[in-house]
Amino acid sequence: MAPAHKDGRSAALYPPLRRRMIENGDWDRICARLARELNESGWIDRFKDRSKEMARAAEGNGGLSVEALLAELMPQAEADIPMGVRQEIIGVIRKLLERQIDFT
Amino acid sequence: MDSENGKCPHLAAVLADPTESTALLNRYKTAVRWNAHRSQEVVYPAKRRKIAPPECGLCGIALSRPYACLHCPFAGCWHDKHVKLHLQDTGHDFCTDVKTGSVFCVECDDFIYDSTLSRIHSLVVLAAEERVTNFHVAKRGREPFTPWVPNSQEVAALQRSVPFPCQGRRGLLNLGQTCFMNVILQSFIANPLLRNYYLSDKHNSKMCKIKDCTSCEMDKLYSEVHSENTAAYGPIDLLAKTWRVSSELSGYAQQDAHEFFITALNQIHSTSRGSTSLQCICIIHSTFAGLLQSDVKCERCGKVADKTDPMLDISLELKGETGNEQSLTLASCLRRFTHPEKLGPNEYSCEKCGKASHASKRLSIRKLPPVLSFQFKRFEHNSADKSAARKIEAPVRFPASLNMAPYTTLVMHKQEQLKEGGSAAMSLVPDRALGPEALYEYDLFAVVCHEGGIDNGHYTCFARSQDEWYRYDDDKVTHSTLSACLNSQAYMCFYVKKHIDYKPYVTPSYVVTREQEAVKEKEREREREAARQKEVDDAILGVL
Repeated sequence: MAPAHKDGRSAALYPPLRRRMIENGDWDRICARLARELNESGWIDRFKDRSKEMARAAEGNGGLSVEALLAELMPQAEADIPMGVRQEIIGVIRKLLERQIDFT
Repeated sequence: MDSENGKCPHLAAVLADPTESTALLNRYKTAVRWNAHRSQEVVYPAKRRKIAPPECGLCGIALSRPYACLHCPFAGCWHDKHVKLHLQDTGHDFCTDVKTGSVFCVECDDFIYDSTLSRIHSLVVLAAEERVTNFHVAKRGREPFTPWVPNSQEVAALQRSVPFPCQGRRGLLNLGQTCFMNVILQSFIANPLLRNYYLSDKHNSKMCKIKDCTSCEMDKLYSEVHSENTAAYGPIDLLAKTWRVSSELSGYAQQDAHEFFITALNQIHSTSRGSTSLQCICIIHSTFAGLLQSDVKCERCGKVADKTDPMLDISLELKGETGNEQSLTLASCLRRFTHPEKLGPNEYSCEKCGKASHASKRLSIRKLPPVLSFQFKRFEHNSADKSAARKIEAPVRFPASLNMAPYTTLVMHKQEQLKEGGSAAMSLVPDRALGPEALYEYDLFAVVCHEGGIDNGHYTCFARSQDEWYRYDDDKVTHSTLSACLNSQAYMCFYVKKHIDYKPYVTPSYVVTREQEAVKEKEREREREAARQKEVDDAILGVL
């Protein structure tokens, strides 16, 4: 799934919105909340283990580059985010943005 | 990575040159410090204050997780490879992820590990945290950490000594249905605070005069596990002592590991130095003891009566969980544990309004211990009908890293206050005075598992040595993975604090005792001398 901010109308809005969220601290707070939810669902431990064991298994044949590891695991990681967590965080972001963007 | 011993040769070259080394390490410190301060600011925003974020040197976008070049002021995005492009274009080798302090070498095309950098990261982050930690009782700041520098005597002692690894892993023989004891002993062996106590000779079993001393058995256990003998060890004396001291645990029947855990803690406590019945500072209480607070609120007049009780571990209910038993997590159990519980109409009589009233009771953790032990109450015993005992098999998910802030008294009270005032806490720790978050963080180090039924089951455990997990099945020790551990059916979990807290500016009690002893010894010597002199004087007078 391509990041939404790369295309069309969103492309112009994304950088200033992102800047404002980072300045206000909203970005970091939402990230922290996401991390907590992902930890409780076991997602963080699952990918910590997968990446470690992948690297360990590859030790015998020359090792594994960061790029290869990310290429393999990023899609799995995104797909594995529990639906409930995804919807909750999107909801939080949406509420935040509704207060800030004029949708007319 | 190029070199054979896993070290980055490019970093080694830089660190070997004093000028280059200073420049690189200074940039590294600045990056880490910047992040430490910024994350404090962000968690507790002042209403009017905005912090301008750094921008990517290539695309100009505001960076939420900057990667900082360690050779120049450039910072950039990782995901779009902008920082990597910068390194390739300029010939600069290293950049760091400011959030974690991880360093990437473009020549090795990999993240690298170096003990100098790790150490700097730890020191800088700790210094930043120290500055924002407030003590509530003694109104003074936290004592700044200073690394230990050995004096000349200590250097000499170190040079004379023979180093041996303090990582011990040894199987334990099953002496007849004693797997319940073996798993608890493995959790003690993996416990860094207990291990350090005994390995630093704080209880010398060769000099101890106490009869039936369990602390001595622990000393022997640590010696055996860290010896060169890797064959399985049979803790026979320890078992015999346990039988002598607690008759309920004797005999060859299967016992409950949690019962043995509590019994062992009490036995070690009573045979260790510093043991007292109130506010004990023995190794067991220093390691495991926390405080549980119960707040009882009268529904009629609103008065809250609180009382605290010491605790050595937390037992969590599993039965009767409403909803899906498949979604049991340690966090959901803790939420249930700290949820207000309605007391029956005649169970409480309020001091303030004097009537037997409806009340609600709420538990919270007043003081977090350095080692936090959880038991999941899987075994239901029916004292009337022994055959009606059953085991709850539902798995409980638990994390490798745990933050206990939401279950502590101070945080819970603050969140209540905020809710009543109409605002919601945006951060896990809702008030700067209660932080930093690092104070509430724990890492999993041992898990006790039970397979099978109530009377014919078997205990095994997982324990962590630094970053590797091992499975212990009596005498069989196998290298395992985090995943295997987390997917097992846990009965008990052990967590250790990421950062140990200390009272500031306190001389350790054993040093105080040693100094007092030295003063007393001088006094005794003076008295002996005076007595001798008196004898001489008397002898002279006798002659005259």
